[in-house]
Amino acid sequence: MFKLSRKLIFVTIIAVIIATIAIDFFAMSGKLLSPLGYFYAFFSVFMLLYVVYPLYKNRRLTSYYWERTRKNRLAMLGLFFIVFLVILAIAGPFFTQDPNHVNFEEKNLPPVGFTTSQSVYDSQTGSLRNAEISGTWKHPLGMDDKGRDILAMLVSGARVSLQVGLVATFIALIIGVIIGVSSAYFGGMVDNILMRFTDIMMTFPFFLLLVFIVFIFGADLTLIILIIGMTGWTGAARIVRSEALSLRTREFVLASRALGASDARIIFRHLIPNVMGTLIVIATLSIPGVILAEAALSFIGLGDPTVASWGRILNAGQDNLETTWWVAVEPGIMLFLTVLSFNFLGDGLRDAFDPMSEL
Amino acid sequence: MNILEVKQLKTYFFTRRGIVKAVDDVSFDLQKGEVLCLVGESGSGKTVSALSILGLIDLPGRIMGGEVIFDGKDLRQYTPRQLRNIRGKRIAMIFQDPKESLNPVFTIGVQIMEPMKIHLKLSDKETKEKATSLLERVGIPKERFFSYPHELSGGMNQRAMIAMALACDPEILIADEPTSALDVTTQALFLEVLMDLKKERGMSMIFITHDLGIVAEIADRVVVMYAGRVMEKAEVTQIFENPRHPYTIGLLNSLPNFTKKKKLMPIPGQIPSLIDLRGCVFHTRCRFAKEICAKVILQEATVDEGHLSACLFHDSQEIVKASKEVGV
Amino acid sequence: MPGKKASMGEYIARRLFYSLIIAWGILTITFILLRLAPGSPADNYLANIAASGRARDIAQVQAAIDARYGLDKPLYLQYADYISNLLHGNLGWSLSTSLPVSELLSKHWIYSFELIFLSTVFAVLIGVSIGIYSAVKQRTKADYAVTVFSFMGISIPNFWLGIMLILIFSVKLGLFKTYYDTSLPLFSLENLKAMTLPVITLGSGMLAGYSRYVRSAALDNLRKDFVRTARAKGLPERTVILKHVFRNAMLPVITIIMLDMSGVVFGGAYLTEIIFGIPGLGRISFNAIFADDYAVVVAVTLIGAVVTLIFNLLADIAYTYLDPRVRYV
Ligand SMILES: Nc1ncnc2c1ncn2[C@@H]1O[C@H](COP(=O)(O)OP(=O)(O)OP(=O)(O)O)[C@@H](O)[C@H]1O
Ligand SMILES: [Mg+2]
Repeated sequence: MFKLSRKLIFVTIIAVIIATIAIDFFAMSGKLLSPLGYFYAFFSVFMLLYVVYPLYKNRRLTSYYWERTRKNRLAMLGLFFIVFLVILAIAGPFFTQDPNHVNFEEKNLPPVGFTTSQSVYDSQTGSLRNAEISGTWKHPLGMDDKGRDILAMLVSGARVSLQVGLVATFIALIIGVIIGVSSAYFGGMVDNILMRFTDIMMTFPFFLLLVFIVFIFGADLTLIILIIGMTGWTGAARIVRSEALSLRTREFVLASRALGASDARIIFRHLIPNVMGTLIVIATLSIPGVILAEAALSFIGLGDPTVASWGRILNAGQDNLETTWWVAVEPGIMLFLTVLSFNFLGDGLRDAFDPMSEL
Repeated sequence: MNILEVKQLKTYFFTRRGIVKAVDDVSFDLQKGEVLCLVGESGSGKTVSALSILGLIDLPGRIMGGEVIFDGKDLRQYTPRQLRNIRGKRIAMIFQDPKESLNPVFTIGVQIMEPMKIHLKLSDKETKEKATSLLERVGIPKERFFSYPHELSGGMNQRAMIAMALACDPEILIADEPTSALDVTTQALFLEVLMDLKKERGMSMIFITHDLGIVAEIADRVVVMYAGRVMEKAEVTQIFENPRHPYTIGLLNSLPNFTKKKKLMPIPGQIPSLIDLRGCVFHTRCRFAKEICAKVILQEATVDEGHLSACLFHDSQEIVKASKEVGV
Repeated sequence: MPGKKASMGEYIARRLFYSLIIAWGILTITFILLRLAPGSPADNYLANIAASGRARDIAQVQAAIDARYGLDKPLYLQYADYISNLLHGNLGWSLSTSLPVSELLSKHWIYSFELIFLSTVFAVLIGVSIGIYSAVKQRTKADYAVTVFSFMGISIPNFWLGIMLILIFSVKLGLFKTYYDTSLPLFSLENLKAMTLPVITLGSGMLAGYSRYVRSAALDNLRKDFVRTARAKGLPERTVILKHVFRNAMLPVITIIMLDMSGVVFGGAYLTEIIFGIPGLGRISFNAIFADDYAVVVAVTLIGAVVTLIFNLLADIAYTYLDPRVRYV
């Protein structure tokens, strides 16, 4: 077995950054310098250093948790779907058509296996007539009322949802950790002020606050991600604070303090690694909320108008329920399955990490 | 006269790791007006035996066999409804940890009146009067009627438990280690109240404990249990003067006040897993064990009238000698 | 006990004071966000007016609006005005409807209230019952079914559920109107029928959540020793569950239900109102967003926060009343 050194990790990181930017370049059609690309790069580096590497280093513990999670069938089902979704989001766009490509000839085409009766324009007689239209394998999930391929839009929507879910949750967790740990570690006045601030943020109904801020600052995907991240940290901050508080008095922290370790060292060496398990669980359980929040924003027309998010497709679909019901049904199913999968997985992970907790 | 007879009771727990035979072929009887003590280490099946009598075993546990004869009838044949009419009314039970055993969100007054309300046809006023007088009888000031369990001390809570158990004048009281959560002085006071009440009402009592000191003080007869089985049954004097089971001898040996010589000898080892036991359950820790002990189970052998031992070699010279050494 | 009452009052006073601080924080953060916004709130409105050619002198209108909003004053005075206006119940002027915001709100809040009230009743009644039921039947098929269904209920996006309900019950089966009829008197039978789909839309997620909380709280308590005591007294199983276990299980659940109001319920109600066209606060705010009507959006956000604050306060007080063990610290 070869040893995983820090050097190897850095090489991997560089590779991942290049890969990320490459994917960004190809799949996001040249938005090379988009802020999201940078988010991604940073996100990957962080995940490798603080999640993948520690998990690899403590293989015994990792396999212990894995065994426990594996026993939960629903969690495994969720994980399976999430992996599928990630592959779909990364590789899908290479195989589907351009989601923005409009083909008026085939608008309102139902999914495979369904037939609808519609009035179609007959170019020979130059008039409208009723015709039975059946779905074709060329557009397995059908077309919307503008003649866009729904499968292509769903694939591109998967990317949006995952981006939002992962990056916004990640930002929220970083803020939550910073606030929670400083609150617990420094105590006193700092704790007081930070926790009152957390209380205030918690008192805003999350979605109303989101709507309000997006309304003020405008709807751009990057901005929306940032906003969700910057408003959704309160739960994490509270949990991290209470975990850190109980850790603070534990022997190993006291011992290293007695040995003269600096605050930063204690925080990074002891507190953060010890709340990592909790963080993974919080992350998995917050991702669905975040995905839903973005979808809801797009659904009410406050999303980024330039990306095909599931919420936006749904919004378009609800206007034509009588004729093209599938446009409203399909993105919802994706959204539902995604959220369900994360909830299943999160629940399984929580049981595995801490069967007693009531997160 | 026997008021309660437990015959070959078997209670098993069907756990993921296997069948735990928490109570296996346990038999004993309780005579009217006597105090029967169940003793044995932690995990020997005392609580499970007591709960089985009242049919209070929860899943994954099940009573697999045996009879519980009360008042000439087998309680195991009772319907759930008939059994409920026995519980709390004719056979009452109190538990180890009084704080945990009382519901934190109801006042003790409410909890004492509860069994009366379902079992006795009294007016509300009578119920309340009876509950108050019971409280005072067990030594709790009647203002405490409206107190919540967390507002009372452990000893007070345990006395409230007794008041609750005695609310319907039961014929039998089963007390499961009622004193082990109390400190020594509270214990003594509590036992005094308990024994007074028992005499006053002519109740019979099954008293579960590990404390041989208490056994010596209150018991008429003793059942020694180990790993779900009865090891020895006898009058209390016999148990202390002429124990005939290595486990009983071991228990006495591990107690400072009962050894003639000063040398303390705790029983080595631990209670075995109750899954897949073979032979005499005690053979793994028994210093007199022979090869055959790992193969054969002896139900019980009569040592004397009213004195039974589950040891194949209860009459062997070794054991008689050890018994003489430890006996008081 | 008399001592308890005194400290209870003190406790409530302390919580009230604390809530006031939070309220102040909410107002301040909202103010800061508004001031950070690019441009003036009236920009878009003015642009629309200019486009329609209704106003002759845009500069005059601009000045008038700036004066009304106090935008010509220094920042600290704007802040002071903002706070004092709100304290006087003056929520500003809705540009798109030409009504004072407070009048608009007082006309429409009842619709939101009805939706949330009915959904909560629906969700609590059903959620609590199936939660208790599945705890009592732990590890049976019924329990599994409840668990899976509550996961699905939690995960289903409620705006999508609403659309699906409309698709199935209104469009395909024609059982309900696709739109909420505002002419019906509130809480009348016809009105309740119109509320059916919205209540299911908003309530099912809540229901699923509550059933999970209740189930886990009931399981915790079923394991407690006092349950054995209750059974040993000869109580029927119904009484053991519905009195002894239920009372204890509901303690944490009541708090959670109240705290859920802001996160789950308000967001859900906002979307439900939009989908079904119920003219509640969410719908008003939604309309205001697309009419660039700042004052209304701000007011609805603030109201949401204030109501949440009140619910948090109530949750605290309810808990201390219900759980005799709580000390007021
Ligand atoms: N619910 C249960 N599931 C599985 N095993 C159980 C259960 N309840 C009891 N047991 C097993 O039954 C055995 C006897 O337990 P019991 O509580 O009767 O012992 P005890 O003699 O009362 O001990 P203690 O002095 O500690 O109260 C133990 O080994 C225990 O593991
Ligand atoms: Mg016991």
